[in-house]
Amino acid sequence: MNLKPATDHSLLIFLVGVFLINSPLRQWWSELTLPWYAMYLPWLVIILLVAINQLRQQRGD
Amino acid sequence: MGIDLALLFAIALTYLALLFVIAWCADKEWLPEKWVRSPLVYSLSLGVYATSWTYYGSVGLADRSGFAFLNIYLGLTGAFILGPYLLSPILRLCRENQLTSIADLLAFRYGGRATGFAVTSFMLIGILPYISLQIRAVTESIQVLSQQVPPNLLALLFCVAITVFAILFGARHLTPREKHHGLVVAIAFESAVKLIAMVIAGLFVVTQVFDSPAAMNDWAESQPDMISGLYETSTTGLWPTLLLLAFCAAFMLPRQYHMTFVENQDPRHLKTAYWLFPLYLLILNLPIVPILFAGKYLSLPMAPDFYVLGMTLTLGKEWLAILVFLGGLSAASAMMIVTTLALSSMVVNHFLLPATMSSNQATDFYRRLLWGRRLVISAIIAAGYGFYIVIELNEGLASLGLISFVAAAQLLPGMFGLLFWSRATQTGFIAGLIGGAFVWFALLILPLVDTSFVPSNWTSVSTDIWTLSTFCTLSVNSLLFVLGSLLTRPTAEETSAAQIANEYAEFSGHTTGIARSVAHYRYSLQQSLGNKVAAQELQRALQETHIEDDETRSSELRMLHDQLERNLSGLLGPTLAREILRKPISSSEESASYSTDARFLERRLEASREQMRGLTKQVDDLRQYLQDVLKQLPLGVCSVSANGRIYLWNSAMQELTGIAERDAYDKSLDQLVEPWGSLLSGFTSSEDNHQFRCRAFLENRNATVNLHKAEIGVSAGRDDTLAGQVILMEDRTDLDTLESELAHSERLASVGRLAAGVAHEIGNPLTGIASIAQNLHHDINSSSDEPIVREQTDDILTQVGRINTIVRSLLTFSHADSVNEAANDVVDVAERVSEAIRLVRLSPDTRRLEFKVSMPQDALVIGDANLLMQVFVNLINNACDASPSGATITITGHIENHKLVVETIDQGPGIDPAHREQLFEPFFTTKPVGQGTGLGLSLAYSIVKNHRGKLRVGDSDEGTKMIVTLPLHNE
Repeated sequence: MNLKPATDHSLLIFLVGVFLINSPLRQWWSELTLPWYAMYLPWLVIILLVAINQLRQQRGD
Repeated sequence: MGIDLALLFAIALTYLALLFVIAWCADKEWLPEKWVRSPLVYSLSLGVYATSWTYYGSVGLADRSGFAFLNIYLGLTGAFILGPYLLSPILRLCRENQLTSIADLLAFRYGGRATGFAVTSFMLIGILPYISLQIRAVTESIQVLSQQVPPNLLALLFCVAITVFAILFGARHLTPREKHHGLVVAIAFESAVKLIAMVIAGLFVVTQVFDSPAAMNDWAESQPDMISGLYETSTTGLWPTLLLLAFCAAFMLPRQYHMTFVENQDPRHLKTAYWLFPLYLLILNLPIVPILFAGKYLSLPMAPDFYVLGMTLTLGKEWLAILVFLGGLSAASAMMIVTTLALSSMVVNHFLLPATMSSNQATDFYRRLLWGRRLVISAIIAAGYGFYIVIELNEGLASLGLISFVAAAQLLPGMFGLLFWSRATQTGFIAGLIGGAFVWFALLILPLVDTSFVPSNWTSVSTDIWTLSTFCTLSVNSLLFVLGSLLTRPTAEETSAAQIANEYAEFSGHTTGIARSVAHYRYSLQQSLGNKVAAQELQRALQETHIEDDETRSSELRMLHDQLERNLSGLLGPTLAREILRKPISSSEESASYSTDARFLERRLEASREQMRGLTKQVDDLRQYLQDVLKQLPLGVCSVSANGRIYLWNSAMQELTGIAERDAYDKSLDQLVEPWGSLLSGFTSSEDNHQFRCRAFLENRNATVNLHKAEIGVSAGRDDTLAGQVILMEDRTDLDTLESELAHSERLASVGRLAAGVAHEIGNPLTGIASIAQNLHHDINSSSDEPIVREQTDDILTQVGRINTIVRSLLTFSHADSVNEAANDVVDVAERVSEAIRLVRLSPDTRRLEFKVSMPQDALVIGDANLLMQVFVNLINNACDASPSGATITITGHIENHKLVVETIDQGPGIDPAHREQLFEPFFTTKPVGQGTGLGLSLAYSIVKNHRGKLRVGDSDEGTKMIVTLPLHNE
């Protein structure tokens, strides 16, 4: 009997996403002189985190 | 420079026809199953989210609101990140209860027709701007490409074409569970076309418009105002508003609900989509900013929404313009087809069927349903066209889309209640929805018709319209939802639905409305659906649940009820499904048994195992483990609930009683077949907790069992419905047989010991009598004058000889078990058989018989030669005694599986079957009194057994066949 739980970090990743994209931090980076593609980077990071989380869970299942 | 209008229209129609061919091939299973049902195709099919708004309107929104345009996709990403808590539970509900639209889902939770009607009405109105957006995007894109003013006729033709294809894709025939494999593949193909076209357009901008990425970046850096403008809106209220609206739209827009939940083939695909679909959207949106740059760089004259088309034409790339146009057409057509399909299902289930259900039973119900859907699809697209005509066309594409997003967000409080708040009621939900809808209409629709209604004209609030409308609508909606729910009590149906909807909620049993028989269901279905449809639906549910037509157990009927409700829900929606099954059904009073609920709970647990995490999963694994232990325990276990219904009937119980688990489950003990019914019910009602050696007389054997029972009490914190009894049944039939055999052996051993003692005691006086008789005989012979005395002394000697034979036999038998364990000579059995025949032939009685011997060469065994010869002497003697004069005794031998088999066959009358079992018992003989001791066969049996062989009676057509099997000697 495998009693090892598959840990789900979805909520944690969601909070990281909110912190990056919809927090006072957003105001700080919006005032920086950033290249046009900078906005896509946190999005990509979040997607990668979700993918890693899901792949880990699928392997655990 | 422009592209010919007719050519564009022909390309559009050809493209739609190609989509139909793809869908057709997928439906016919001509495409490889592996990738048709793959997570990639499923994730791509979710790309229906990216409509003309994304394709064209995002550039316009980026121009006006900067990077806020990305929030339409970031919000969706948020919803997909929370998928395990948000999307997976909805998918579970949708699959388990066949909820084929968001109206079905909410009607399932909040009960009654009013919920479905309210949601459908509002969604119909709310989505119309979105449909008109698609029509406008396609006609305006054609206007840009052809550089002709497209008449409304062009928009109408587009609508007609989409109507035809929507019907072909989704309403060509009825699919019971609203799964359209062809549609999914076609939509996935369209998503791929959108992505390819957009990526090529982006690459075109970078390499052709700006020459290189570095050149584009240099140009962008030279436009600091534009770059800061892109980031500027991220500090305004619009930013979180768009995030929230997109979060809601991700699963509340009818088309998203349809593709995400209804068309899902495998729950694991959704888990892949959690990251793959946002990744698709990221790649799709990556070229948006470069396209905006290109539009500004080239100073294109058209609205930013259509920069992507304008730049291709400006640079003379017609092929790219057509490719981009096809991408836009994909976006618009996919949205319109899936949306109308989803809305048609809602309208039919919540408008048309409730209104027409009781009438026209004679007509073909399925046909009526199909044509209803087709008409509704046509009507929705016509309404979208009407909206396109009526509404002023001065709004950007994104504005029309956002109006629909705010409408979809009005379902958020209801969805929250569905997933997390079991106290929420229908009254609260409908009140909130109506309140939110009024505010939505006042703030977003009226200003489209008349600009005097624009909020900035009558309020002093300076917030942007999207933030204002989202805040106002959701505030009013949520307030009314909470107040309405708190001021009213949930009905039993709502409570039951809330328990099903919230998988972590405690289950208190929803056992009302279970009919007493399958016939009740048939009657109930006939009342609403007519005989033909009722028969088809009932047959389908019976097959899916593997339930027989004559089933009466409440647990099985409940499974049938649930299956019927699911199937009908997929066809008619949950409200009507419940109403139909509730109608004239007389419910069983016994339905509220724990065993009935328990099976339901088991099914829920099995269904939700995938979602279990952490401690819950560990506890469930433990539950499963303990259940397996009980089921596989080599001891009969049966548990009975407080009302006497069987809940557990393990595999040992099935083997012991011959009663299958499904035949025992949920029955009372006295309903079991005899003798078990009376035995077990008598035991449970007795005061004894243990009963030993209970006999059960079965058809082919008698069983002996020990019974034990224990009360399952109510412990602190546990539900009292879990009280009952557990019964253990221990099969001791084999043990009893062994015990009786042992007692018999002991009895025989006692007899043997007694016989040996008696024989020994008789032997001494017998020797004396024999000597005296011999002397007397000798003396009389000498005188030879007393013939009578001589005759009598001869008799004495004969009888003494006979007694001596019996005594020797008794002594030999009493020592048979200990004979020659040490004797391990190699014995040629063929020789022993010949010797035995020679000895037997010495008797004059055997001279009248023929012997036919056939023994194999080298038939060597290990043992005692004399004892084995005694075996054959006994067997041949018996054969001779049984055979009539002139008969043939056949003795054959052969080797079989490393064993020597010797058969002695006579031509006598054979052995009575009644005597077969006793044949090898000592002192058993069928010979006349005085002619046999009854020890010969018994002795032979013991000798053969001690040689690790077997002696048995074989089947023979004539006479008796005795078979000796001995292990061969291995060199």
